[in-house]
Amino acid sequence: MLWLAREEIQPKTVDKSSKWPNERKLLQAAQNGSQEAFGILVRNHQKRLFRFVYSILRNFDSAEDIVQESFVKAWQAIKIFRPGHDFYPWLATIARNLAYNWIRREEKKESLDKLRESGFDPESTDLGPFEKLLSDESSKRLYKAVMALPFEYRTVFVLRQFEEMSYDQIASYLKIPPGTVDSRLHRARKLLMESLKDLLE
Amino acid sequence: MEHSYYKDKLSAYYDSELEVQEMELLRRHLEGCAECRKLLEKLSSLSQKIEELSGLDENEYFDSLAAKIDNRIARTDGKVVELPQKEFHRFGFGWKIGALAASFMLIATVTYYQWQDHESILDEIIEQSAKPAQSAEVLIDSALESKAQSETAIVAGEKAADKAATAPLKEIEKDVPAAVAESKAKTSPKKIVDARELQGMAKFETSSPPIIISDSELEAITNIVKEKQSNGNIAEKIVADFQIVNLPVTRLAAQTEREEVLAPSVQFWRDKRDSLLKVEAEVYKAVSGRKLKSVALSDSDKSGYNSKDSALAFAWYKIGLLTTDSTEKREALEYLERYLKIKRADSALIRTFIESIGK
Repeated sequence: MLWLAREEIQPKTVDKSSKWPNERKLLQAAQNGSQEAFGILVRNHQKRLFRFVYSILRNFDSAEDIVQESFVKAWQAIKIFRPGHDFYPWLATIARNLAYNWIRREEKKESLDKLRESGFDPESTDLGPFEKLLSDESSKRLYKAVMALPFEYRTVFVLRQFEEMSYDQIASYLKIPPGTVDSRLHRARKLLMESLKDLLE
Repeated sequence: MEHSYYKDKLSAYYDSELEVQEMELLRRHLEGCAECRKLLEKLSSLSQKIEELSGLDENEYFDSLAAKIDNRIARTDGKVVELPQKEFHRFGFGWKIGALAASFMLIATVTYYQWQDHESILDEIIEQSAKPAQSAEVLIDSALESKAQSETAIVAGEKAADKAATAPLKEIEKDVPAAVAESKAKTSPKKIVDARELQGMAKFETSSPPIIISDSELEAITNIVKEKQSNGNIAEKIVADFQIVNLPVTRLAAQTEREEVLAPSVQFWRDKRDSLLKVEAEVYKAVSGRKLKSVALSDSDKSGYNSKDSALAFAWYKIGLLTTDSTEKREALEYLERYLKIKRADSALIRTFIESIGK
């Protein structure tokens, strides 16, 4: 049987080991007031955080503001950061809250159609200045497809695939039931697999 | 019908997020279904493509962004929030945790709220630090209000726990609320609390009040636990080790569901079980100093175990170790071996579990 010859696809498990071995020391130094140490933390995490915030908001300028604001708030509160924990999840929580505040404000202005629209049209998705941060064509295409996802699907997909969170974590992060995480992720992937068919063959 | 059911579960299967039994069912279905295998391949290929996405380029842009952040941070000096660790730990679990062992329903209540509001506490603290401090009276008033709310919550928690109790549990639980009530009477309501802690607490919504446990309450609970631990039989010892307290609840939940009796209470049991699993993870993390990191204790510090399965695996391990009942021991081993077969995560650890039970 042909399929047996192929390598069996195993369910995926997420490797959580920290990318930055010195992070603990940096955090300690930052807690003792070292702006330099905090500056290194900024440089280590800013791209990931930027991508995260941008993929929630799909608005380049606001994403930049929120990334800046998140680091400033993290610095202001660095002394209450609990040692022994990873820095990024904490930072991302601050950023998430700021991003959702932004969304709420925008909602009041009633200009949020772009965020909530249910259509899925990667072709006509404009990444704006974000596109300049991507080096190759296939990255551009993938990001366009992800950014074209409706807001609810996109957030769940980003948290799982970019941020590597578990379903339970996503559920408590977004305050939705775990079953909803499952179904939104399933639909997001379905949309992406359809639109990226040729890339995935 | 079956096929479309499995098809919808593939995404969760790919993420190892189904419960052990479902994982196994799906694995079997995959053996015989070419369409689902194809779909799984696509899922895997999509994830791979996303993973291969390089980080963002344009280092120039990010250099300047980092410089902007540096500038702003240099200008924030003097506005840094300082909160004494010991106060902050009132909300965390680093604090006198061993002593609370048997009072699981109290902890369930506390942790549930602590957990819901961990973030909002932080938010509030950050938020408040930017504003001029409110007057002390206002803060103390709202703290007292919060405390009153918390007492209501504790009572509710106790009632719920009473319901949840299995026979050996009941005895302990009866004692704890009494002790809590007694010591509460002794506690002065005008407690002096750090102003910043109050700032953090003042804005709690009524649905999620903070819980304050006084030292005398803690002492009362500790005494009961100590007494039970030294006098109790093996069953009581297991109960005192509240990390596995969720297990009777889980079983009871399953039973209730199967017999379709008390249908409305099923959700209650489920919620109870879920919150207990989370409590277990949270507490174990604190107690063990994260020794069990590989049991998928999450780094993001909220939901603890990656899944109910790993939490249950741990619970079964504890049961297997402590029980003198050979059926139970076998059951524990069976669960762990099945887990090992289906989930790749933590396999080394699960093997050591199995080994130590085997001895």
